[in-house]
Parts: sequence; C-alpha cells; structure tokens
Amino acid sequence: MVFFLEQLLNGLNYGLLLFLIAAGLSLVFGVMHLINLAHGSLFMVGAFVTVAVAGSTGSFWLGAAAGIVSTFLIGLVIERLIVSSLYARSHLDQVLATFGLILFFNEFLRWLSGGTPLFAPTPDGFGGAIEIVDGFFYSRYRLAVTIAALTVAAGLWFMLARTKAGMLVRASASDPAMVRHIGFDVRLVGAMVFAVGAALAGLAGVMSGPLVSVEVGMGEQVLIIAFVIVVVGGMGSIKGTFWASLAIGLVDTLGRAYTPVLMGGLFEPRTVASIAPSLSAVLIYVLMAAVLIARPQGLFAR
Amino acid sequence: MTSPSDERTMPASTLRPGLPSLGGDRAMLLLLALFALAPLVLEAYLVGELTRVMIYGMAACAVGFAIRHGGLVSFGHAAFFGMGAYCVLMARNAGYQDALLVWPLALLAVALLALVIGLLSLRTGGVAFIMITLGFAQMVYFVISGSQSLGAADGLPLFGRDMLAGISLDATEAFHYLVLVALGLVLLVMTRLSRSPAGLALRGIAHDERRMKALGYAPKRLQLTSFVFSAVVAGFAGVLAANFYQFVGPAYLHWLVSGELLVMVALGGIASLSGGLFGALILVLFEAVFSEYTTYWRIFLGPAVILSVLYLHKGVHPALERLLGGRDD
Repeated sequence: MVFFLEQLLNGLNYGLLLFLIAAGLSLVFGVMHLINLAHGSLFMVGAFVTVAVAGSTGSFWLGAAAGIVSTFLIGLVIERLIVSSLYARSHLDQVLATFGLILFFNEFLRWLSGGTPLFAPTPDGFGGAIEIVDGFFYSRYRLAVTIAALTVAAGLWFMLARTKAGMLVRASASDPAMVRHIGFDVRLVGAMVFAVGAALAGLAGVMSGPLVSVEVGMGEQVLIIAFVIVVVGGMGSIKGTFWASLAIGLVDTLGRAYTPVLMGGLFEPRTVASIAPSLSAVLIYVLMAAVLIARPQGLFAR
Repeated sequence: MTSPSDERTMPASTLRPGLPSLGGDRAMLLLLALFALAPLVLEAYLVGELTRVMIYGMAACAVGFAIRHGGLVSFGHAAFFGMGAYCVLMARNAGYQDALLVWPLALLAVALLALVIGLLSLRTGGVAFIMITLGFAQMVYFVISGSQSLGAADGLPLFGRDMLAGISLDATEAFHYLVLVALGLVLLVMTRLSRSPAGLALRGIAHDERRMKALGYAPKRLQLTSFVFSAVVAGFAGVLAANFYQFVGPAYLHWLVSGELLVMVALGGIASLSGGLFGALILVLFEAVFSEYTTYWRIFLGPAVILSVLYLHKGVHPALERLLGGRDD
C-alpha cells in the first residue's frame, strides 16, 4: 500500500512536470499553428543553467531564477529571429528549422559541459523525507515540486480563462485577423506565448534538475513524450493536454513499478529482468495507439 | 489535412506539372556516373564515404518520396532504417548469411512494421502525423535496444558482409558497385511509380486531399501504400548500412537519423526525386569539412539547416539541374 501510494505520487509528480512542457507546445501550436521541436531544448537549457548558476553561487534559488529568466529570454530571441518567419511556412519547414535549433543547442551544451551528466543539488530545507500519513514517508523535494507544478498549472488556467491577456491569447488562436482589426498586436501575443511556453519548459527543467541526471539529449526524451501527450489529449486543447499529461505520467510510472511485479508471477526472474524495462517503456506508446484507434482526434479535441 | 488552413503542409512549388524521368535528371546521372568511376580513381576510404552517401541518399529519397506522394512528413523513418539493419543481425544470429534469402525477408519485416505504424498514424492527418511517427519510432527504439540477444544498448558486430549468391561482398569495390546497382534500381522503380496513375493521384493528395477525395480517390489507402513503399526503401538502405558498417546498434534507430534524413531531403531539394541523394552528399561533405576543425561540428550544422530552410528552401538539386541545362523539376 505504501509502495502504491509512493508510486502514485511519483506518477502525479512526473505527469505535472510533463504538463509544464506539453502546455507550451500545445499553446504554441494552438495560437501560431507551429510545431516546435526545439521545445525540449529549452527544458534542457533550464536544467543546465540552474546547475551552472547554483554550482557557482551555491544557491539553488538563484540558479532556479536564472534558469527561468534565461529560457524566457532565449524563447523571446528565438521567436523574433527564427520562429516568427516560420508561422506562414509548411509544417515540414517548421520541423526542419527547429530540428536545426536542437542540433545547435545539443552540440553547444555538449561542448560546454564536456558531455558528462551533471547533478543538481536539492535545495536547502527540501532534503530528506516527510511523513505524510502514519508510517508513509515521501521525498520532501518531490512533494514541493508537485505542489509548485500544480500551482503553476492552476495559475496558467486562471490566466487563460479569467484574465484579459488570456482572452487575447484565446482570441488570437481562433481568429487572428479579427484580433488585429480591433487593434491588438497579434505578433506580440505570439512572441509572449512562445516565450512563456519556453519559460514553462525551462521551469520544468529547473525542477527536474535534482530529480534526474542533467545531460545532453534529456530535452528530446521529454519532447517525444510531450508529443505523445498532445496526440492523446487532442491538438491545441490545453484541458486535454493537462489530463493526458497526468495519464501518461501515471501510466509510465506505475507501469515501470508494476510490470516486473506482475510478470514475476508468470516468468523466470531472468526473463523478467531482461524484458520488463523495455515492456514498461512501451506502455505509453501503446496508450497512444489505443487512443488513435478509439478517438483519433484525441481524447479532448473540440 | 482536412481544413483549408492546413494546406500549407505542402509548399505549392512541390507540385510542378513536369514529371520526373531518369533520363531527364542530368544532375543525378552525373552523380551516378561519379559514383561509378570513383573506385577507379579514389582511395578506399573515400570510396567508402561515397558508398555511405549512396546508402543514406537512398533512405533520404525514400523520405522525400512519401512527402511528394501523399504529403506524408514522416519523422519516424529511423525505425524502418534500423529495422532493416537489425533484420540482418537477427538473420546472422540464426546462422543465415545469404543476401538473396535474408534481404527479401528483411524488407518483408519492414513492410509489416510500416503497415502497422502507417495504419495507426494515418488515422489523423497533418501535424499529428509527424508526432505520431516520431512516437512509434521511439517505441521501436526502446523495444529493440532493450533486447539482450540483439546487443541491447551496445549493439553487435556482424563479422563480414552477407554473401550474394555465393559471391563475397567484403571487398570495398564489390560492395560499392552492389550499392550503386541497388540505388539505380530503387531510383528506377521510384520514377516509374511517380509517373503511374497512383503516383499522380498521390501527388494530388499531397496538394489537396479533399479535392482528390471529391474526385473519387481513396486518399488514406493510397497514402498507406506510399508510406509502406517509402519505409521498405528506407529499410533496404538499413540492410545495406548494416552490411557496410558490419555493425548493428541502436544508433540506427535513433530519432536523430529520422531528422537527418529530412534535412537531406530539404538540402537536396524536396521537389526532386533524387534530391535526397544530393542532400546526403552535402551532409557528408559538410561533416568532412567541419569535423576537421572540431568534433562538435553539428554546432555549425544546426544554423546551416536553419538558414537553408529560411533562405533557400528549394534545395540544391533544381539549381544544379538548371546549370546543366536540364529541366528544373
């Protein structure tokens, strides 16, 4: 039971981090109809900047702030310099140019870091475990990340659904020409959406730093999973992205935890040890296939 | 690809009325002649580099074919390329080394994989297709790189190439010419297919799926055919690559391969049947030049790809073709 609770919280934690990444992808697609492969790179940059700044200043919080601000600014620069000329282009051109960005970011960070994985320290006061209910201990840092990500997700929802800025974003998604005609700068909306999306991916990178090894290529792993989420949830639907993120996070985490257990009853331990990891890695793609068969437009598509 | 706003999936320039023919593509004939003469004048290492160009060029032409014929931008062709390579390894593990037996079976396996992935991916259109093919390719990567008998994350060496009807292909020149013949055959088949009624219908689908549907065509079925054909050609390139390197590992299946194949198509010229071949040549030359200076040569490749997408999106092949006085197709 304790094991299950722990895995459940881990799944929730992972799903919420995935949501921060997938949300930016989904928003950028919804508003600008752009497919951005370099979105995962911003996740990676966020993690690297945090490790570097936290390492040299000794403060995780300075590192975190640097990670978020730098990804926001990089997002803004990329949007103005490159991405904004891709909105009117074919999806193929968008894929190619943003793939070029991935190559650049990956190789640049490989050059800077020397290619060895880095580890971010857990911030002071968040180490160790906390007793949630009697006899059930859970990592204090993971819990904090879960709460923080949930807060950001709620804030994002509030901004999109209840504020004037959010209304402008939604209007730009459904009718950019009309938004322009009533006197708003659609290009500015696009730039801000892109930069905020980049900062959200950067934030996910900042928070993932102490949880995973910070290395080149970490961006594409989450990018591909974020694509699966967008397909499962429905293109351009932020609500769909949220629920699909949680579903993918839970399926992946619980799958990894329970596949060896379930297989243990049927096969020899050696067979289980060799097959279980790849079998559980496949589960989320099986989920994607099932969704494509049952509801090809995605679970929450309008 | 069902709403008008999605028409930008295909650039209109892709759909010139002219039909490709092997004889009409002077730039390609020149390049093939260069490949044929290479072993007579170049040292073995450089011949090997050109063999590599032909192999990756074949895979890139396959990716380009699916884009032109059906509007299918696949970011998952590494799965088919890698599947072809791993079939060679699986056959070797089982003790088979005869190309005439192993290679057709490998292509059959790739076709089956492509049929399943294609059926699922084609349930939606447009951008989702790019994401879904990438997702399923990643799944194939995890399954195969997790298998201990296939060398897991490290891969396995092959110890010698397959035998073609009793003839050894281990010599650099012999293998180079075999790949050249294979490439020639693939290009010939592609030319015939693109001029066939189905090929023409697929070109129409790439441009405007709804209109073709209204004309009575079944877009999904035709697109699936095009996708499977393209995958089989990429798988064939994978079979050849496994034999070329005499090594099979997860790098074949890596998503970077899918991306680089698309880059080759774009650099060479997406409108041309042989564009991928020129793209492969450019990429290999680019690597050769810049890896002289740094092992991190992709730092330069990234910006080069971005600039070429933004400023010369027609690719190299049409310009070459004009230079040689041929038709700009």
